Amino acid sequence: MAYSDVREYTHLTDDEVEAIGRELDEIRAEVEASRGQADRDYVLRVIALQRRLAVAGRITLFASMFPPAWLLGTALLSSAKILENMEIGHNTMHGQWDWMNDPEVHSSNWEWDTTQPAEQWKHSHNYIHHQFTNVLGHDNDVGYGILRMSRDQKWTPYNLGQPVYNALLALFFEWGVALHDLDIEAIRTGKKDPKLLKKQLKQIGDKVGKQALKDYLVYPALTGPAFFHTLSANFTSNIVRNVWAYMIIFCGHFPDGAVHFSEEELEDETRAEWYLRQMLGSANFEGGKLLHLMSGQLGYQIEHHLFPDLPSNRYAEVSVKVKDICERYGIPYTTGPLHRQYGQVIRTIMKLSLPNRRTKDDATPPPPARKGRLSDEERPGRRSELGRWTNAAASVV
Amino acid sequence: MSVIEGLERPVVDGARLPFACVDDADGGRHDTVVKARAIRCALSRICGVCAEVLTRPVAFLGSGEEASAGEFLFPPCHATCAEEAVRQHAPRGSVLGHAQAPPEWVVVTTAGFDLVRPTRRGGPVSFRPNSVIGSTVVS
Repeated sequence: MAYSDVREYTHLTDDEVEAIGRELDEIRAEVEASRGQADRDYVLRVIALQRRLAVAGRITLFASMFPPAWLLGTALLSSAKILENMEIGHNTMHGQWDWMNDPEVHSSNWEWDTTQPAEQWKHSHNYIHHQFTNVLGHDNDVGYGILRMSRDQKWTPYNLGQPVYNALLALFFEWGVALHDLDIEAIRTGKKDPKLLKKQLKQIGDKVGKQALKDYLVYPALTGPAFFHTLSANFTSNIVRNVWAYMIIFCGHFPDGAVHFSEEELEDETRAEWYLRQMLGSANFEGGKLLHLMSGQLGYQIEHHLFPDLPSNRYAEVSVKVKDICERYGIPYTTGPLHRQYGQVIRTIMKLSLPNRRTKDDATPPPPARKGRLSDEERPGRRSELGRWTNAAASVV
Repeated sequence: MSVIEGLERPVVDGARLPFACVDDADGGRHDTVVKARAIRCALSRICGVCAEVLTRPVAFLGSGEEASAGEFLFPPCHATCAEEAVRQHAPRGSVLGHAQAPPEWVVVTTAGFDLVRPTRRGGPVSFRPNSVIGSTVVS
């Protein structure tokens, strides 16, 4: 079920919502005040690591006709691609490192190692997804235009194929992302301006051409007799990166507990209400530092949606404070181990391939219980039955 | 050339509207920044005047008071767009999201900025440069 009124859903009063907003503002201010050299060192270290992994992978693939070298080179290159897309590219394009004034590590300059042009990503992800998070009909990340991810979305026989579409989306995720900003739904319903579509496709085509040239011609050619082995290693690395990125991104908004919204009451919402919607629409997963690094710190999806432009290396410390706020105000803080979160995503995809009447809604959480003192009118009346002590006292008399 | 959707800029009162002043409902006015557009500029990293992708450094255009306070009403733009906008629009009076043209226009350049969402319903968004590089008075 999708909710239209975030405030009503949480049972929070106006004052409570604004108090939450002030606490989150303080968290943001603390990070901004302490943002500096340590954060700069962090991202430059990650970039250096990513480049070493990429170089090591490319060099190893010179010997890719030998299976162990193929395997090692593919693993190194996959890791490099994952790091580049998740921890470096995604976060840089959010402007998380703009404050450094680095000519390269800046939202206006970074072009990432995937088929979607950075410009289109900044529109479809930074704006559409982060501004309209989980709002059905607005946020294209809800099923990427091909999957039904909410019971409020209309079922059609097309949805019976969801398990297959999902597997294909996972394998070729970068293509799903590349076509993301085209708005498949608008194309399907004939609402897309053909001229604009042509321009977007040309920009995607140019980027795809560069990616293909790099991974499927130049680098394989450099390895000479190992051309086809290197080509297959590069292809595999892209598939590994695709599946990983897909899983991490789907675990950010589709495990049980992450709420969808049905109405756009966004024009007038306050900062505090916006914070609340981001917290309710997102889900974290738990894991060690390596897992968080390789997932671009998106295991802290709630914190990322609250503060998309704060440095990603600070999300872990922020999460402790955000969780505390959620506990104090009785707001759901959705988290769990990665395997459980992904299991719930898969179950939702499977169930929603069928019409609502065939399945039970067990993914949408009921509204949280109200916290705080109830008025006398809201309290239940005194219970009339007698307890053991009363009975005992009566028998003495 | 930018390829994202909805970037048309109609001519109003003889001058092309800055992208951030275009209103999808009624065309827009020179003295009003449209909140949805301002948010879009900030998040999509596009210029509030021409709607093309922002470049480093990012520029903010506003009054001397805004520059002193470090908080701007008009969304980020290119430094060249900011200067050109002042030259083109300054004589008009109500321009670039300001009801009245300020005594002087200031362009502040910065590497990064924060989008400040409103604390009251219906309030405007504003923008805070967070790593200022320099500022110039434009006349």
